[in-house]
Amino acid sequence: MNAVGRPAPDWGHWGYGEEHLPATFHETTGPGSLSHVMSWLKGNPLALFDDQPAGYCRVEKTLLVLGLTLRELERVLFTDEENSQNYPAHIQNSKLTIADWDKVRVGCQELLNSVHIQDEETPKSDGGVNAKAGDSASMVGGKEKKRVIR
Amino acid sequence: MAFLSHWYKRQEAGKTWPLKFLKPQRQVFQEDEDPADGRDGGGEGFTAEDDDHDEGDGDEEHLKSQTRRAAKGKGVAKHGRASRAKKNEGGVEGFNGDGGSEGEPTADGYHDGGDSDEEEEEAVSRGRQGANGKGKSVNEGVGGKEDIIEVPTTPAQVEPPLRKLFLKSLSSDKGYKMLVKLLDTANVSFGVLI
Repeated sequence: MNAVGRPAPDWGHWGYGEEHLPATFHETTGPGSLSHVMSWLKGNPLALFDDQPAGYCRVEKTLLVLGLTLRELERVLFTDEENSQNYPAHIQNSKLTIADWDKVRVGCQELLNSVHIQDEETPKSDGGVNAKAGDSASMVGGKEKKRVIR
Repeated sequence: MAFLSHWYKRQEAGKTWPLKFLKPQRQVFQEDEDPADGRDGGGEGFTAEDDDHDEGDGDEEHLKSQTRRAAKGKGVAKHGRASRAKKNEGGVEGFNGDGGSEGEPTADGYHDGGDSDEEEEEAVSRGRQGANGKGKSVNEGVGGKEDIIEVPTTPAQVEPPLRKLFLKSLSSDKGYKMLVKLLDTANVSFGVLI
């Protein structure tokens, strides 16, 4: 089985059923920790694979990991003390700081910069490969315009 | 000016002035509220002027009826705007008391020593918390109607069509929001050979 970059944290999937990230996320190192997320992010989860851009599912899963990470950090850092009483102990006692939040934000920005959205214009085809059902390229001025993540 | 003339008349009549009404919280309400839409505006609250009666004026019954209206969701004072309103979701601001006494501000609004009206207001407050609580976003739609979209709090609860909405709801960070927009792009390239 082929894979792109480093493996994502084990909680980074659509079957994850907890409202909060596990206690391992708040640990300094180890699988599922924030440092794991950062190393996964540096491996560019949206990189080309076999010269193919990231598909929808890969983008979606990448965003899920980043989104859950940011949500957890925001809970730790920006929740009022009185409201944080409902959170599990590992969130209330988390050692994560605003510097960690900044790191993730910078990582998001770098990931965004590494993705080039490029408009490719190709001559209009009639009945060719691109005219098949499911091709969602838009028609612009008699030419098909595709937006591609590279 | 109305406040001063009212005060002056009371002084002339030899009535004692209830100093508790001069607390800053009360002043805020007096400044913000428009007395014109206070009584039967359907949702707008009664004003500080409405409350400026003391016991023994024959106004006690009037005040109690207003209090009852507040507890039923009418006569409720207005909420803050934007971000603060989010924090106060579920809180019904208003006055709940007898004889014009003022309660202490709490997370749910203003309460004073318990009577049945207080319980009723708390019930309204809990009801609102239920409607606007965690995991639900309320958008004001066209014509002032509220569209309540339930956004689950765990990935496993998210149906595939709602995944994008869920991802958007996770963080408001600018860079992350830009990344979420990639989904639109990825949507286009999905299934297209390059």
